[in-house]
Amino acid sequence: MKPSPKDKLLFRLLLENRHRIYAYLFTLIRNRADAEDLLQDTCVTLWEKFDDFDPKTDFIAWSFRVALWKVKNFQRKQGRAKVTFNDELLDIIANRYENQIPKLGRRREVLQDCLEKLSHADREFILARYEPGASAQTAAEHSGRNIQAAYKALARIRKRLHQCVTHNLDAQPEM
Amino acid sequence: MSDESPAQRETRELLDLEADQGLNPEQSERLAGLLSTQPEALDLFIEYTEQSAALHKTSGQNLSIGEELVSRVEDGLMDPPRPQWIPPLGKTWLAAASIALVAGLVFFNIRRLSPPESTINYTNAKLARAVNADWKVGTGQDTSSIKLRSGDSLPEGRIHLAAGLAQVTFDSGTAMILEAPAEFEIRGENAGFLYQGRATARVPKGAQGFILDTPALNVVDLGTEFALSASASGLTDVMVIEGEIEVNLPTPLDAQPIRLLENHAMRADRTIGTLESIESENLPSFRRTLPSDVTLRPDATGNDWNSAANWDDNLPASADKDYHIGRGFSQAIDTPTRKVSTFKGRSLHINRGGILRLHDNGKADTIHIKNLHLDRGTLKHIPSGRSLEITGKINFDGNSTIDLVDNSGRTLIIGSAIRSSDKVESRILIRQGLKRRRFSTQRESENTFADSILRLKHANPGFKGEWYVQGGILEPAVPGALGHAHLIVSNNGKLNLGGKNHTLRSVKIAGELLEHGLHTFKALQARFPGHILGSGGTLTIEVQKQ
Repeated sequence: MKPSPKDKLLFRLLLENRHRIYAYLFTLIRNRADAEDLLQDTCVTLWEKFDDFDPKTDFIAWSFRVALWKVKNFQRKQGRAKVTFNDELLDIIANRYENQIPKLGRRREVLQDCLEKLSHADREFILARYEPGASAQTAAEHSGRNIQAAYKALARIRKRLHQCVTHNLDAQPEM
Repeated sequence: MSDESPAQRETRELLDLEADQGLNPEQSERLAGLLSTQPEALDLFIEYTEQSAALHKTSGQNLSIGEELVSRVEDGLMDPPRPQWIPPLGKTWLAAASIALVAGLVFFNIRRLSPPESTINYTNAKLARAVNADWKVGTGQDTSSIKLRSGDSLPEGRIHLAAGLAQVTFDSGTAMILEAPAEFEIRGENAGFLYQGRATARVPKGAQGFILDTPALNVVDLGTEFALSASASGLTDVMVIEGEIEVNLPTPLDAQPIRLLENHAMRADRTIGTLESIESENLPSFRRTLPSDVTLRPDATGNDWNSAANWDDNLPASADKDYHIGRGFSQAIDTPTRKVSTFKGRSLHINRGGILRLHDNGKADTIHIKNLHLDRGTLKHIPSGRSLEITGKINFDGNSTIDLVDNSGRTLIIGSAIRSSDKVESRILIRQGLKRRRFSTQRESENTFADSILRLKHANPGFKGEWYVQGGILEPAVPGALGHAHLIVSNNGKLNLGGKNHTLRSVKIAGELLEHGLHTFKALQARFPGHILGSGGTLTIEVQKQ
């Protein structure tokens, strides 16, 4: 089974963009494991529907459309109990998110610099919190904090990172 | 820096709470309300969540784009190179950059790849035996052949059985038969991964829990035996031969394993992620034992049955293999003319069309075959001396023939225990060629004629077939030598009771069926002159049970 040029193109696009699609899914579904599963689901559908995709158009926009549809479908299956946002709100968030894509991309780049600006302890702590399978609890244990102190520290570091990125972004000329 | 609005502040606090402790319904609703009505809250929400997703990535998130796409990567079809284990060539470990590029995609590959040393690391699993096997290690373009012998440890990483068949024994005792072309990997003392190919696993007591995964299916053995067939296109068929197994799709979404019972089969399709029942009868049969069968080469000279030149594995006969002659073709092999000649194989099968020619060196000789199987094959005594004894064990798996070459008064002694198969009541046809009178300058002795003898020197309670003496003399020389059998003596066939008493299920001599009960030698001789020889003994015919 040889990959067609189109297959190769899709692989490349997915490799390049899978973290962006994931972030979009995570924003909508609010749960890391669900977002990771839905990413796989989305990729399969993207592959199946890839013949419909015009390479001259925006891959991200197209994949986000599929991803949003996957999220709505998923929530429908989950039933009322687990629904975080209704379809109407999902559309609002999705719409705003898509408008922000270029800015979000720049924020991502700047975030790495801001991580470097954190103290060593804070950087280790926040990264430990976001490791696969980790939680505030595991990060607290890892750093020897009690859990309430960990909540406070995480909130503080997140806010600092966000402000740092916003500040640095404002200082940078827009592309 | 407090340029955030009250709505933003509240949103941020809710998001922290959501991330670390979770929201109660009221808090969820509050957040939804803020996002619906406050644009600046929505922007902060998006930025904050985006930031968390970015931190997931930075913290080493293994983001898979799906089994199917990953499997394509595994098959080496992707453009970006992936780290590969190529120890035999000593290839350099690929650049960290390329690992990083696909790390998330194929993280489990990286974990199972061997370290980038130029030496091969070995597992505790061993190659028990192989038949015509051709081994390769590595993947894609970077494969290299390796030699493996029986008893060798198997290397880590992906192993490719390009040709032949092999039996692998895991540390736990689980035995797996592989049919080429197959690609597999040892994953511990009781686990393996079959990328493609056909495999049968037999799991002994104490090794339950054996795991055999394929790209499309995970299998846990709950005891005994199952077979798998995995294709590169993403299909896996699994069938339970004996006992039961648990099967599951490899995706974490389907956490409920399915129990599969004896003679049941399922098919997993990785492409569409389905698992469905199929008819086990429709599956091609799986090898359950290693075919250690070696066949006589078509161009064999037939001389010296232990010689490498005769057998299709090009090896001298050895004690871990079974040797076949015939199989529908006319083939013959000769025993060497020695005082004692022993066949070195584990067993020798004379199948339909096959002939084992028994030679001697002119004296009283012995031919030893540990396990001789006759299944529509022929034993042919070609004597130069007076007698020849065959020892070991003989199994009559089907109707077979013993040829006593001619009426020159030679004796073939069977010192082996004879058994018939449980399934078939084999008929052993005993016949004798006739020597022609020579009219030239022969000596007088050459024109003496006497029937040749088949002498049974061993009791054979395990024989339940039929003796059919068409020519020559059948001489059961010990009690019970005929076994629990039927006996027919016809045409030129003769019977020498050897002075012993024999019990049979039925006896027919010269077309007459003997009555139940005891028949003395004298009575038999008087009734069938020319067919009964010797000087005593009796025949008892059992009453047939309904």
